[in-house]
Amino acid sequence: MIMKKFCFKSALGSLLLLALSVCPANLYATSPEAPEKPKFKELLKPNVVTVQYAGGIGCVSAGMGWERCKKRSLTELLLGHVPHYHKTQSLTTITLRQYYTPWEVKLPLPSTCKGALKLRPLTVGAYINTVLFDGDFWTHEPTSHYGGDYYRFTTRVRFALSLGQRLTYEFPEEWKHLGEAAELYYDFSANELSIISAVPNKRVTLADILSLGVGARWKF
Amino acid sequence: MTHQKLVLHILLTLSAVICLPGCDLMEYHPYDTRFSGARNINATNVERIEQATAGRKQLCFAVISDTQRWYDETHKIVDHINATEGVDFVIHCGDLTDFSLTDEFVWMRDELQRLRVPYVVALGNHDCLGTGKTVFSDMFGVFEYSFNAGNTHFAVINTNGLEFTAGAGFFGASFLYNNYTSLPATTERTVVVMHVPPGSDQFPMDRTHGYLEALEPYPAVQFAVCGHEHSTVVRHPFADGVPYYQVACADKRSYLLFHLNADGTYDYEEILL
Repeated sequence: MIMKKFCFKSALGSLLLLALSVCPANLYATSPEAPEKPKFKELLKPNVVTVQYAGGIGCVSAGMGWERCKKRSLTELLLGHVPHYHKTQSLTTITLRQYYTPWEVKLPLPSTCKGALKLRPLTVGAYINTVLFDGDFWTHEPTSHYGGDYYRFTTRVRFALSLGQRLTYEFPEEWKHLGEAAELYYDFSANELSIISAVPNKRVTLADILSLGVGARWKF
Repeated sequence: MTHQKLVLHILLTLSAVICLPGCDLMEYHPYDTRFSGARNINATNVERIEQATAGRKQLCFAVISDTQRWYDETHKIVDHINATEGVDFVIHCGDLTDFSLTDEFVWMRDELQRLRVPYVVALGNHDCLGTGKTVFSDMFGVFEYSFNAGNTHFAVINTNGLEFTAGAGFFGASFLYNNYTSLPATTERTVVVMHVPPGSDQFPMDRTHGYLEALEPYPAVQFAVCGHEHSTVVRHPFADGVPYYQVACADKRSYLLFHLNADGTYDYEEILL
């Protein structure tokens, strides 16, 4: 039990560390007069705001993100809301998500349009989603109740993998006061319990286990 | 492809994905209680069973159990029952799901909906996790219920002791007492349906106090059917000698077929696929 708790916490910690401390901020990486080592405080500053519909982490989820590593890495922390999941009660979840986008394609814009349109044809991601404030869910099954190893999984925490695409519009210079860019995205994700249900069964297909989430980001 | 066409193509793809019809893909949460398709299945099927078997003294029914996460195997069992002549209805002794995910309930329900004959489902302990109880009650109905097939009364009780903690003794006794008052006068025998058998982890013998007493007034309790322990076993847990037939999980590709005869006797066979 103690071991399990430790592993879960360290997994969360490692993801955060990976995203925040290993990658230098994009801002500094591209700017020649910037200091070589950005301050830790600067690294902690989010540069993305995200709103998402569906996708297995809530009906509506919103939060902030940190885009680093020449915009290849994006770490997000989102709060999700599931309305009336339990007749009258609603459900609140928190998601920590890490994306990697290997490349981007610059799309042509009509000459009258300023700014730049970029497509990231592939984003791979993983997330951890946890239910907050609800007694029906447990991270570890209650020892007093089940003896500790009856069901051997957590109802509260889900681990998922995702694949998706992003379309980014980078603002022209005269719009920079509004921020850096706006983005539309979608992700197909599948959680670990669905995956282990589908793997041994031909009757459960990939389409059955996928969950689609669509969203928008504002980058600053 | 010109640049404008390429942009248009990409935007169309994105909007097609965003506006995908059906919206089954647009899941809010694995434990969200929204689902589409058939609801309140037990009550609907009980009505079908009671109508089809009214006045009969002979019955044939199949018992399956613990189909969780064995969709391919359940598919084969359903095919086999559909191909068997003379089956009046099917009883599922619970554990349709492994984790109580809403998707699991839907996938298993869609397999069971392929049955030609009506079926009823008992609540299993694996169906009680997260929001499982809510989805089960929306999809199938109340946790304890009864129905009459011909001259036989079927009492479906909840024996998932760890999921329903309520002091010592048998927590479903009040259902059996109340249910007895609505027993039709034509009842000649009783069959009890449950998920966890007496003596098992969730329904230990020290929690069966009150169970036999509540069952005592029922006419001719011939046998009980149950699941939970994933093997086909016959037990006689009480001094009254009533057999408890435990049905194997779907992974064993096995189910029980009971024939209740007009002379009051019965026989059963284990079908192995």
